[in-house]
Parts: sequence; structure tokens; C-alpha cells
Amino acid sequence: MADNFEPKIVGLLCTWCAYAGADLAGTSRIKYPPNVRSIRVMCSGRVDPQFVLDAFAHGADGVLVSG
Amino acid sequence: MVKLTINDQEAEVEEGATVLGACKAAGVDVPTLCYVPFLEPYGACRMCMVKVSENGTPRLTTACTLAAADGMAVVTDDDDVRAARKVVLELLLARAPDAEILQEMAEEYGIEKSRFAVEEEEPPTEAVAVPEAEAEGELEIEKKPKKCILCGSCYRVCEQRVQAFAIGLVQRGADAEVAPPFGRPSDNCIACGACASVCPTGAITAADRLGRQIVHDELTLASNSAIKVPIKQAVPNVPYVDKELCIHFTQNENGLDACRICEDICPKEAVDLDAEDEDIELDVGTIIVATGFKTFDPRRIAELGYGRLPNVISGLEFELMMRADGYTEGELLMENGEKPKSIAILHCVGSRDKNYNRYCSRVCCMYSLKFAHLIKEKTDAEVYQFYIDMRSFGKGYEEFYDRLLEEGVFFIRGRGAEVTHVAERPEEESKLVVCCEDTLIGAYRRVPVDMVVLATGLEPREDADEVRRTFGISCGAEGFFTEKHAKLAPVSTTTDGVFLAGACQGPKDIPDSVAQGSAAAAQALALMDKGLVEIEPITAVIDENVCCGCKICIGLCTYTAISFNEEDKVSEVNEALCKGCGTCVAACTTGAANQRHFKNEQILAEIEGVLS
Amino acid sequence: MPEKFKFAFMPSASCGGCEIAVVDIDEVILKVAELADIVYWPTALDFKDKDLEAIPDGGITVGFFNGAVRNDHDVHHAKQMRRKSQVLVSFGACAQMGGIPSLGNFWTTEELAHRMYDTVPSVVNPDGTRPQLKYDAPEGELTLPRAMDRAYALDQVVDVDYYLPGCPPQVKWIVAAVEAVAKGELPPKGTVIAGTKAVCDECPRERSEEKQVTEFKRIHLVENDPEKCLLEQGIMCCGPATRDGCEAACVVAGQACRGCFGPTDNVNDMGAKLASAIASIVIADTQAEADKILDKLDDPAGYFYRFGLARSMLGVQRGERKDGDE
Repeated sequence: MADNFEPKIVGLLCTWCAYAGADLAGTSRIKYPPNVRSIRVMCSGRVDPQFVLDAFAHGADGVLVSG
Repeated sequence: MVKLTINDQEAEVEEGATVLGACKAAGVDVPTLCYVPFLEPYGACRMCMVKVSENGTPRLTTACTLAAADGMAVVTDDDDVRAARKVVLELLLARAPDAEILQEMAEEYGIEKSRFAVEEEEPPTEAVAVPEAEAEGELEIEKKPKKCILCGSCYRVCEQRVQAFAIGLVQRGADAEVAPPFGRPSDNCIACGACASVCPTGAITAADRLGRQIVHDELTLASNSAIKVPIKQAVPNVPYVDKELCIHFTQNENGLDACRICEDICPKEAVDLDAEDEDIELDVGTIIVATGFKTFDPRRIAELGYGRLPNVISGLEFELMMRADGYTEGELLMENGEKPKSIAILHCVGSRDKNYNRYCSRVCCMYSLKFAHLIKEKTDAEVYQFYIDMRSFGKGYEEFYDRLLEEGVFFIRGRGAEVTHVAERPEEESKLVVCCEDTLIGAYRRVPVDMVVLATGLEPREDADEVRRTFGISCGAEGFFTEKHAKLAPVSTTTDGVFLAGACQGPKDIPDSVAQGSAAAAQALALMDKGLVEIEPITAVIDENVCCGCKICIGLCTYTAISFNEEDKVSEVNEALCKGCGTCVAACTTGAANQRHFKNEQILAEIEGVLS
Repeated sequence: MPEKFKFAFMPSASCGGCEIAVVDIDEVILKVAELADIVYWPTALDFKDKDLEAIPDGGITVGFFNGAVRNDHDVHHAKQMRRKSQVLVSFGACAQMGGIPSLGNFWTTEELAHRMYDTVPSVVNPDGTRPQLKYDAPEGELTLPRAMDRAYALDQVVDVDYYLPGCPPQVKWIVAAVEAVAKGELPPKGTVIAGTKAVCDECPRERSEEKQVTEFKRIHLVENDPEKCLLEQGIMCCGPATRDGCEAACVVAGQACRGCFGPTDNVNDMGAKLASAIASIVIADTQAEADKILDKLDDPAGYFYRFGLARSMLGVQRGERKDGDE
């Protein structure tokens, strides 16, 4: 794998905590790498295993479920 | 009702009242000593002697033991009565010459010296109600002034109310005295102090040799009595019964239904000792969580010496001391009772410190300034403020800071790192020394002072987590409850109808708390006024044409929003209860459940989108 | 009398059970014979590849294709069937989702060959002899089809019009399909000719609202309560995630549903859904406890993807990285 490998990570983020945290990072002007591509869900319980498989099938290197 | 005349005035009392009661009701003063309203009439002291005529024949009798009857004519104060009382007083004085109340009465009745006074060689002794002694041993009787008039109030209250039977009358005639059985400390005594509280002459005092708290030294709402108002500023400002101290509850443990004096004497009948704690379930539409904070425990910072060194006190203790009804009555005193000549106030104790709490507690700067102002107002002491930054951010706060600068308060910019009593220089002898780096002059300093006040910060309460779970609200890293949105919904929570107010949401001062409380109340009222709750459009929905009725979703729903339709054999979502978390959607094996606005297709499309 | 329909049955990587199912329609076969000519059915009659080749494009009214697509010969057949059939029906679980042959997709073709020719206990092959794709026999060159990288479902190779699910498909749905063709009442393209709900809908067993599984048991090791939901008894049953239409035949017979009808229309990945369902009913306070319970569930991947690995998301090759992405 090339040295400049940048993983693509799909973040499935709970709207109340993790997504709110990402939001807060925004309002607090805290940068985070663009490798994480956030998708808001209403609860981490909403995360269907199909989403995870789908993300990998579409080329994600990692899936972050946070909530 | 019974009709009688008192000093030629018509009076009416209820059936069963005594003549004394009638007199009191009519506002006629009759002197008493052995009369205790909550004890059976006894007629021991004879001071309440009045002249009563029934059927025209007058006689002298004690008002406290005579039942009022129709047609009675009572005279409470004429020559006959006064003569009789004078003899009684002289006799009582002969026994108890040291009783102040008798001396006062004697003055009123014109007695200079009792005609019956006896000179004794031995110093007089009086019994002392004592609880069980620590060890078998010789009885200790404190030598007391002669005050006891044998009125029996003490042992009557002990028998009738406390039901402890710890003291009684021993010996006869002139040798009679009140004492515990066999003159030895009685196992029955519960150190309640009731005997002392009813003694008219102060002859009996309660002394606890086991160091237990004497509860009823006097019948007041003092902070150490069983019925008390916690502090004068308490809201609601009503007394409560401390079951640990209350005679009734103490004796309850011995199977007795004792005392109940408070119930009997409360004119409003407000006391009910049989009332039990009950859990009250209220159906409410809105809840305001205003559970407050706890102060940082400065013991955690050992180097500041709190709890270890004398005269190192917390901010709250300083406040208590400065209170007019506090234990020093508003005087600022050191532990040796002297006034301090120099005081250090250390800011940010437990705040802005990565070892404890990183956040600023917001209130300490300003209360520290207030403390300095109070000290300057009440004493001549020098005040040193050790601060990191002055945060006088509120309306009028900076002006207050300026004023303090003019009042001669020393501001040292540097965190108070250590408080020690180890003197390194002569001027530090028997002083507390505050060590700090003064960052303005760039030097290490040691400032000797008499007293150190720690401006303790604010922390979430220990039970905040439990409260949080109960109401389904979230908290930040430091444990304070989180509002729904920092800017747009500062008093709402993620649970509809639950609002936040005050320091449970984060450290804040009184104006901010009041403002937030008012906002929360307004939000709650708005919700109540509307009478209906707006629900989010984001809910789960189950396609009845696909649902197979496996019921997996039902047990998963935290909000019990899913029920089973027995007729159609499908699960159904109650949209009013559904919070739209979508857990059921993720678990639905047939794909019958979907979430509005977060459909499977939508999220899958998003995944595809972010990865394209 | 209008011209008769022309039916063709093509077997591929399959066990032959689907063909038996066709025979299982019993006397209905007479109606079928009345309705249609069977122009190609190598399993039942002596048809050769050249017979299929001889049929003109579109010459088959309805072509039934069963079995997964495992080698290049299967691909050739699939493409031929597609070309020559007006309507192509995926017949059975293997054609629809890859079926049992696609369980092999958990390994590479080389791993499978190694297993087959070297390590299976019944094989003695000290020289490591492998079948050769070509062999020059005295009679001429012999060839064998080449196994592809993995097994595919039919619709991953060619366009498919309808699906008859099941292992094997049930008579009533075969009849329904034939009748639909006969009446000319064809459903929308892509329809799975079966139920629209899941097996639980037809299952007579009693289900509770509080499913709490603390132990998984294999069905042959316990006596299950015939009145009660198997899942609730800790027996892995694919019923909640499997399309209905079978009248819960297995479950009624005391066997757990194996999922042969595949997922419902709304589900892309049946195994993922089963995993989700299992996660939803396991009751454990700690991760360790949950692990202990789930460890009792033998071969979950095999369970969850028994019939559908080829069509699952697991079966999809990870997206090719484009140069611009790096």
C-alpha cells in the first residue's frame, strides 16, 4: 500500500452524541481529518449491519459506529 | 360551655377546663410554678391559689386542679389570695433560696426574707439527671445551688410523656429530693433533657456523661432540638422533626408511644408524628430539573491544608461564619476565638486545574471579591487574593472589582500553590504561609496570613448520573447535564417536556440561575398552555403488508411505542410515543419497519454518496 | 388452437433437486404438456448442447434455469438461455442467490481445489494430480469447463425476468408461475413468485413480545416445544428474515427454517438482517456474556448465508480502488 494511503472511513454517528460532538467540533473550530465521512443516524441502534457491509462494498476502508 | 365570673368579669370556658385554664383564657394572670400545660394538673407548688365562691361560700384553692363549674366566682388577686401566696412563697424560698424565679416573685409579694429560712452547714445538693454512666462507680452528684421546689414537673414529664421513669421523688419530708433510683445513674434515662426543659426554677440540668447530645435543653427551635428549622433562610421556612433526636421516635424503638408534647402544644395542630414518609406519584406534563451542584471538596488538594491546618476554611464555611445567625454570629474569628489580622483568599480551588476540573466554576472570582469586601467592612484585616485571572464578566462586576482595588485589597496574580504552617522566617511564626508564584513580578512569594479561605469550585452532584438516567437527559464530560442545543435550546433537554435550570446544567451564579429558571418555567408553561406536544416527524413506521409478526421489534423498543395488533398479526408503531431512534428498523428482519426521513434507501444512498 | 408455448429447463451448478420438483407437480405435468412443448430438458430427456444451439433466439417462451453459475460452461448456458428465452425464470435458491454452491465463496477457487483434491479424507492423491482443462485423447481433444473465481447467482450473469425461490421451489408456486404464463398475466419484471412477508407470518408457533435468549442450542440436541417459537427456545431459525410462501413447511415439521426462500423485497442482505435479529434477542449484561452465548451458535456465517452468499454483500468484491482516490 502506498505511503500516502488515506483511509476512507464511513462514520455512522448518533445524532444525540457523536454527531452532536462532530457538530460541536465544527462550532468549536476543531479540525478533524476528512477521512471520516459522517452520516447522521437518529441513534446508533439504527445502524443496520447492512449499512456496514454496504459501506465496505462501496470501498470504505473502515466503518465507525459511534453513539 | 361553662359560665363563671373571674374578678367580676363574665367568662366562658369549655367543659372540663380548669379554673386556671379559664383565667388564662380570660387573660387574667395567675402565677404558677408547677403548672406545665402538657402534664396532668398536680397542684404541688400552690402558687396558683385563688379564691373561689360556689353557692356564696368563698374558699382558697389551687386554680390548676379545680375544674371550672357554672356559677363559680373566682377572685385571682385580693388580700386573702396574696397573703396565701406569700406564705407559700416563703415556704418555697425556705427550701430553694437560690431559685431566681422565687426571688423575683418574692420581690413582687414584698418578701424580704423567708420567715422559715434554715441555715445549713453542708452545701446543698440537688439531683442531676444523668444517663447511664460509663462504668460502675461512685455516684457523682454535682453540688448545685438550692433551687428545687419539689414541684414534680421533672419526674412527671419523665413518667407521663417520656415514659422513661428515669427519675422520681426519694425520701420523705424535708429530706425529699428528685433523684434517679438508688441515687445511681439510671439506665432508663435517654438523655432527652425533657426534665430540664420543664423545671421552673432551673434546679435540674441535664448533663450527658457519654457525650450524647442533649436534645431538649430548652424548648426552642434551636438547631440542636428535635424539631427545628434547618437554617433561618430555609425554604419553606417550617420546622421538621428530626427522628434521630425526637423523644417520641427514640422511645418508639422501645415500644412506647411517648411524648407527643409538640402535637399537644401546637396551637395550629400542625404537628403529626404519625405521618409517614410517602412516595407521591404525580402525573405531570413537564419537569424542570434544577438539582444544583456540590462544592468541590478541598480535602482533595492536600497541599492546601484544608482539614489539616487550623484556620483554612472553605468558601461556604466563610459564608456560614459571616451569617448573622451563624455560630459566630457574623464575627470573623479564628479557631482560638481571635480576630484574624490577615486573610488569604485562594481562587480556583478545584477549578481550571487539569488535576481536578478543567472548567472555570464561574462564581468564585466574584464571591471571592465579595468576601474581601465583607472582611474589609467588618474587620481591619489585610486581604490577599491569589488569582489566576480575574473573571469579572457580569453586569457591574468589573466595577465591583475596581472598587475592591480601591478598598486596599491585595491582588496577587498567581495560583496559591501551597498552604503551610512551617515557618521559614520570623514573621511566619505561628502563621499560615501561602506559597505562590507571583506571575506579575515573576517571583516566588511566601505570604504569611492568619486565615485562608479557599474559593472552592462547583461540581456536579454525586447522584447526577442517577438523576440523568431517570429523566433521560445527557451530560457532558464533566458531568453537568447537557441542554438540547447550546445556543438555540439552552433550557430544553433531549427529552421532551424536561427542562434544565441552574447549576445542574453547568456552573452559574445567582442571576444566571434565576434567568435560566425563569426561562425553563416559561418553556414549561408554554408547553402546558398549549396542552399538546409536538412530536418529531422522524418516527418508525411498519408496513403491515410486509410485517410477519415476529415481534422482535416489540421487546427492543425503549419507549414501548410498538404494540402487536392481534387481529392483523402485525406490529404497530404508536407515533406519539416513538422517538424515532430507529432501533426497530435496524432489527426488522423483513424490512417492514422503516424510519421516516432516515429510510434504509436514504442511508444506503448516503453511504454510496460519501464514498463516491 | 394457438401455437403451444415452448418451455426449456436448464440445470447448472445444482443438486438436481429442482428438477425433481418439476417432476413433483405430478398430473399437472399433463396440463403443462397440453399447454407447452418442452424443447429442452437434458435432465429428463436426451438433449445435447447442440439441441439448444439449434433453437432460434427467442424460440423458448419460458426458460427455467436452476443452479448457481460456477464455471464458464454455466455462463455459456446462462447466456444461451437468455438469448433464446422470451422469459427467463431463475428457478430455485441456487439460481436466485447462489445457493449452497456459493457457500464456497468463503474460500478462493484454489483453496477449494486443494481441499477437494488433496485434503478431503476420502481422497488419496499423493501426486497432487489435478483435473486438466484440456487433454489430448487419442479420439481428439477433451476439455473441461473452467471454474470461475466464485459462484454467481444467475442474475449476476444475465438479465432475469422472474424468480421462483426455494430449495427446491414448491409445486404450488411452479403451478402458479405456469398458470400466469398461460393466462398471459405476467407480474412486473423482477417479481419473486412467492409470498411478500416472512415465514413467521405463516408459522403457527406462538411468539412472545419479550424474546430473551440466553443460550443457543442445536435443534437435534433438544426436544423443542412444538407450540413455541423456535428462536425463543434458543434454536436458530431463519424464519423472521425469510420470504414466506412455503407455509412454514419446515417449522411445522419441527425443523427450523433454513432461509431457502431468501430475503423479502425490502432486504438486501439476509445474513446481515439475521445477525441483527440475533443481536436483538440475546440477553447479556456484559460483552463476555454475550460472546459466550454467541459462541454456542455454530458457524453463524454458514447459517445466515446458507443459500444466499453469492447475492449477499459479503459476496460482492470490494470496490476497485480508482487511481484518483489515492
